[in-house]
Amino acid sequence: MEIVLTINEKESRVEVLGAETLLDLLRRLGYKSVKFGCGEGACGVCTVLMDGRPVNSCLILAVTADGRDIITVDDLGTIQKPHILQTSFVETGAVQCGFCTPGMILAAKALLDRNASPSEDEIKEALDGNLCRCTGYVQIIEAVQLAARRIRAKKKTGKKKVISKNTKKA
Amino acid sequence: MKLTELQRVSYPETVAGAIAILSDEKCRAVAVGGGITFAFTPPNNVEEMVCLRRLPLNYIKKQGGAIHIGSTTPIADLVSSGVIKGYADGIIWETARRIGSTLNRNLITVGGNLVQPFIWSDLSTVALALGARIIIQDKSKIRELSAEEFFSLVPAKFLKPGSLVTEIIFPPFAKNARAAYEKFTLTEFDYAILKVAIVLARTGKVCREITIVVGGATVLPQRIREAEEILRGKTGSQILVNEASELASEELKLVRDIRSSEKYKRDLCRVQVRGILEKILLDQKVPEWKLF
Repeated sequence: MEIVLTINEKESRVEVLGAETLLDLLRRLGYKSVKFGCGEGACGVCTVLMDGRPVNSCLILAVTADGRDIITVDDLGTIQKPHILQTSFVETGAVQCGFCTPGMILAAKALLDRNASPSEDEIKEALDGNLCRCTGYVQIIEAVQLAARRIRAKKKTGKKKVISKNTKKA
Repeated sequence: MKLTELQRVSYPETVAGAIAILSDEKCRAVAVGGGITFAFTPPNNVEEMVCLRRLPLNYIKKQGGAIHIGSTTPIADLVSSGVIKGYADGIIWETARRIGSTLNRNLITVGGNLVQPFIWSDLSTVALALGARIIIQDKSKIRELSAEEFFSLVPAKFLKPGSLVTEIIFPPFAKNARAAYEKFTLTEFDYAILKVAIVLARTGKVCREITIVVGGATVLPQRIREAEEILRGKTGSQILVNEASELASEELKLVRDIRSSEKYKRDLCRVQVRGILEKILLDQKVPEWKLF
């Protein structure tokens, strides 16, 4: 069956199988940043943004994704020009094996897109479906807080202001 | 690999359009809300999937004190809604907030949660406790069922092909009413082992009306009527609350659950019912640990 969906701002017309999940489809198309973990919506490593909301791509049948707007972490930044969240994750030591990081970053992006000043509890709630087995969650929460401060500063000044990870919360 | 017979996926924009496809026996069509159940267990004998997401059923409205929620509304929207947070001591909000994770709540729809209840489903418990009404539309008529009628059987089994749950209505919440919900899980967003919702109306310390509902013990939520009966019309006291919670744990019907023994669930039921009653009938400050 043929579906048309937008992946990372690019319209794609693809053939999908009946029981193929969105996760399987994305990986088949080469978006390997979307990981297969539990396959049952518990770990969050397959997180993508669908119409701006973070969802488990392993729980979505690809045939039902027709007309959807999908964003994977590949759309956020590059090695040369990383996204604020990506630099914040690196600087706070929130990345170890990196398997959960794409999902964490997308869940955090969805949060910061609608709330640039989240409380610690709001960050925890936004990331509650994304599990990390390496770093623990302290650095990950710090990374989101740091990114939030940088995004607020950027909005305030209209340009990127350098905020180190040790700068106190604005 | 299942869904081998799937031919089409349609995206109707009207309820009538969706019902027309679903009620056509030749189509062998199935309605898809959030679609999680189908991703988990894709059915084999389906030729057409009818995605409901373009229907105008994604809404939360307050009308004359009642809350109307469209069936394709994602659970995440209940959590972000001020209307839901401000209704009935926040009992629906608290329930929605604890359904799965944020990622799951963006997919799960209100209608899906009601129509395909599992032993761990949450909304059904609160819908029954609050005396909600469920609107079902088919080709010829619109029906309104009480939650009591709706959850007397597994809805997915008694709803005929071509019937669509379109809305759930929560009735106005009285000024003298109180409500609370407690859910016990092993981890933050695990499936519930047991949950209890209690809604009562008081005059001072006198309990005028009460509904006690326990979920997670059987597939469908159950009213605990004997425990309700000994509280109805009585002045709340610790002795009465203890007696009611003991009775609730004895009255509870249970199915086998690999995660916990029958004794454990009965004990949990007693503790949760007692804790909620202490909170909303006796106005005690109940620490969270006491509810587990």
